[in-house]
Amino acid sequence: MGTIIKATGISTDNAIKSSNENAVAAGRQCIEAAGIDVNDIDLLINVGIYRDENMLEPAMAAFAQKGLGIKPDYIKSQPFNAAFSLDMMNSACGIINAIQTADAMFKSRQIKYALIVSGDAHPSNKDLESFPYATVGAAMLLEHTEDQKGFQNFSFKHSPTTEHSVRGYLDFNNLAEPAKERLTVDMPAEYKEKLLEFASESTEEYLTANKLDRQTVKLITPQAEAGFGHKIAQSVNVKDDAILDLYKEYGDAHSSALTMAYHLGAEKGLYNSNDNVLFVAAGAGLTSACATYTV
Amino acid sequence: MTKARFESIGAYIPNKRVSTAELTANMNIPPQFDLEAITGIKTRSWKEDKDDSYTMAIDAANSCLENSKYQAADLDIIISCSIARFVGDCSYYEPPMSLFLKHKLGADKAIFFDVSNACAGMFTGIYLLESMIKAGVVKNGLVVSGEYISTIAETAVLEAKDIYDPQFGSLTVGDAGAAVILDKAIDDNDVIDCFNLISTPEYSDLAIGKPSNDSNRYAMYASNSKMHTEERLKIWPNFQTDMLAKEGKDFKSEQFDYIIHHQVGSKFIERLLKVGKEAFLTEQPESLSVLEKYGNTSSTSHFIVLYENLKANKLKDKSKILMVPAASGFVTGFLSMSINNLAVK
Repeated sequence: MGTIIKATGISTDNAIKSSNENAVAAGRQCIEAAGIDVNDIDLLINVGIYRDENMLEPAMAAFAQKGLGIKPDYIKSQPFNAAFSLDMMNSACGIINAIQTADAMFKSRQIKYALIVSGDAHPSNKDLESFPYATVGAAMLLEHTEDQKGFQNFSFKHSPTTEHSVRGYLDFNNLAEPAKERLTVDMPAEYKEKLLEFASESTEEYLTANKLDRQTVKLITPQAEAGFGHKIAQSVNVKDDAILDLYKEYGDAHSSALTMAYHLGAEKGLYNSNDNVLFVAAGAGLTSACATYTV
Repeated sequence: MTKARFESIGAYIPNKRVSTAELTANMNIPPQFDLEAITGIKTRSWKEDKDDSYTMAIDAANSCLENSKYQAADLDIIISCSIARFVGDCSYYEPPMSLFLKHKLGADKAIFFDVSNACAGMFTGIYLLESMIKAGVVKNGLVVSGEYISTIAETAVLEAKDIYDPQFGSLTVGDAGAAVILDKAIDDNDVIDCFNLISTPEYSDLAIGKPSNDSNRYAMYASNSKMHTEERLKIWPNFQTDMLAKEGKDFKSEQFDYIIHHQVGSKFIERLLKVGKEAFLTEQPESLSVLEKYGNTSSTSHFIVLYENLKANKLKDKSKILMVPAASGFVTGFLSMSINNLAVK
């Protein structure tokens, strides 16, 4: 029994500056690609971190659910006409937490499809140099099947302290801009180097622990800077010909990075049936998350 | 299939209280309403200078661990669920609050993430954790929320004009931390019997929390009159009726001893009890509340009610409790559980 990717979608239109709009645009593309009825989606998880106007509530997932028309209201005596949505936040690793959670929900509840969406944006919805992440969105539709394919062996790791971590927050002591347009992203000078080191170590440990064949495994990695994925692959002796360097074109897609890389890789036909694709996420903490996806 | 239970519960309730009279006395525009009469809130728990979302979550988690057989190092997962994520004067996006908590508590092996789902945050964390325990992904876990939310009340004091002001509801809130540890149920006396949540975002724009347009604080803008129409309130009993019917059950046969509604205000709770009685065609269980003392502690409110009643030994043995969330989004549902050994030292 496995949780598989039914479809993915991305939103990379430069004209869209809103995290919610990107999440919805990606979700729409994903649902269309899957060719399913939106009423069959029972769970929606948003893993985006940086939200429009620094909104606190409701969950941004509520706006995505409404925007995608997924059972926005409850109709009495149609008990299956119910969906649940939430925001899940764990920097760039939230996507792996969300897949693991959806997998658990498939196994313990009556859920047909789970949709994971993401989108990050500066709260002002402006293009600002101080915001180090790409304003894009991604969506991944999951379903549960009876065969042995899909996601397995979820693994999470974090550094002993947060001293080298990026920190993103709304600072109420800094009055430079109105609070709904204000954001601080403190990225220590050594952050990306430390993140690369940490992601590489985590990948090495995971490959060894799970006895994955380094000749055939394909990597999906973060894109924190140009060449990030290639460097991880080289450090763990995995072939890097299936790694797309997306940073040059899109920048750091943060919470959308893995879904986006998988989407574009699948478009290029990089993944074949029975391939093992290793998803490696890494971000603030420092934190990493790995899972194997058997296509 | 394995079922889950509340293994322990803990809370941090600041000692500071702000009375409704004190709060409204500070309003820029003299209030044209009797807030205490409208809400049933005499005082609300209020953060002390040393408190923020992080410290309140730590204090609640430690309280929970004191009531638990588990040590922090035993925890398989930590899920942090507060609406705001303040460390000092900064509200965090990354790293997640749950990682800060994990480091401080020494929960070395715990995986972690934050959830954000308005006042249904803790319900959401428990919902996911219950599924993970049932699926065998984890054996136990901590769901915690350090809810420093009174900042929206301070904003409303400065900005709300009258009872129809979208910030009026913010005057009800108070601060508190709450935590629960879930693990596998070992008998029928302590078990989560049935738990379902639903999001109906058709009207999600009716309650928005974000930084104020006019001052340097968070604010909550809610159209309560539109959000709390009878039709909206009926989603809960309709949903629960339908879900119970699937299992050949009804509300009466569940024989609940107590019901805990979201602590928004006494009139709101009365309306929900009335809607419940009419929809389920039966008397409602005894309604538990701490509204008068602590106000609406948002994501922690149901769990503060449960904690306080356990602490005061007010619940009968082998109680069956129904908790009903109501949160921006709009999120509702029902958590029914049996408790017998759950205790607060």
